[in-house]
Amino acid sequence: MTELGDFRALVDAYQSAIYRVAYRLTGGREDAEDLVQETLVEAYMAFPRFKPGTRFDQWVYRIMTRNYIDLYRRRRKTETVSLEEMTEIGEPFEVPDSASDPQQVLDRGTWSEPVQVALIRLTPEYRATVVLCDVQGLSYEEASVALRCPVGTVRSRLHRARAQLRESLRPKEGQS
Amino acid sequence: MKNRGNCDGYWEMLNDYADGRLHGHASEKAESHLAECKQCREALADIRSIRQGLVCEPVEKPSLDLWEECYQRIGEDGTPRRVSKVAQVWKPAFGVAVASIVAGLALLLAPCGHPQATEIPMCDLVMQHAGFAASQPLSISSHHVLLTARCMEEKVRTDDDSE
Repeated sequence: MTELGDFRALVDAYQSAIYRVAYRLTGGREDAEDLVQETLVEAYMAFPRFKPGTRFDQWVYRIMTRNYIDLYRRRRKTETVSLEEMTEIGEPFEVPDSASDPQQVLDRGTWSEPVQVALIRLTPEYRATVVLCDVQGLSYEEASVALRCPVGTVRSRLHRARAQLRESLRPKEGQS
Repeated sequence: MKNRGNCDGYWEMLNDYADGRLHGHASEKAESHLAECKQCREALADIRSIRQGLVCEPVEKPSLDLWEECYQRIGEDGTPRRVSKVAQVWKPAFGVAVASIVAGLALLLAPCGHPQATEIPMCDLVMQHAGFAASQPLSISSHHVLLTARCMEEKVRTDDDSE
């Protein structure tokens, strides 16, 4: 089998997971597809360095998250987006008033808005951590390799991200 | 950081517990606290609900030709970067060898004060040392050496003229 054939076989086995991670990171189909394309081109160029027998999907996630975070930082320099209001220290931020039914307030599993919407409000680093750990089920150790940061950093980012998501998804006090 | 609705200081523990990272005494301690604290039970339920939502929320399907477009693009842009072991070792070695030869020739052909040596054009000296007859066609490598010698000869003449 040719090298491209080997690469295709691996990608085909993890297609849905690769796209899902890209979608959760970007929040939209078009951006997710762009991210997938950029990532796979880069992955193929680096394919000679991939060690057979290791987790191909996690190797791709590493490339994808790096590309995504770099892209976000480049865009932030040229665009003004509301995400700039968010900080990494986890301060609560204002959630737009949604049309949530007050009777659903304390119904666990029913949030004020889709989790994906709240996810996009996180910083790229927090978002990538949540996506890898909570969406793809990577362990802290596996996520630390993909994100190129210590396990402790993965843990703290994940915990803070969940706190922000929880704060964002719960209806404001007074609406219950 | 404060998490409204949680016992202070228990948020980290709840996350670790939800992720199955507490064992033995730590796990027992967490379970004991959860048995007594409604707020923390709700917080733990929130953590699990968020994770469930992230997994189960629908993802917009990709374009049908996404993957073929990726492979086409790989065919256009992506050529695996190969660094052969031969290139890693022999290229630098070859470069050093060529540089040594040129440097050696330069030293050899430098004006040494002998009138006879300076009168003999460098090119001919090079040819003699290289063992080539005047009529013999030059290979590319010897041609390069000859060009280097000619440049040096020109420089020597220029230096002599300026003195």
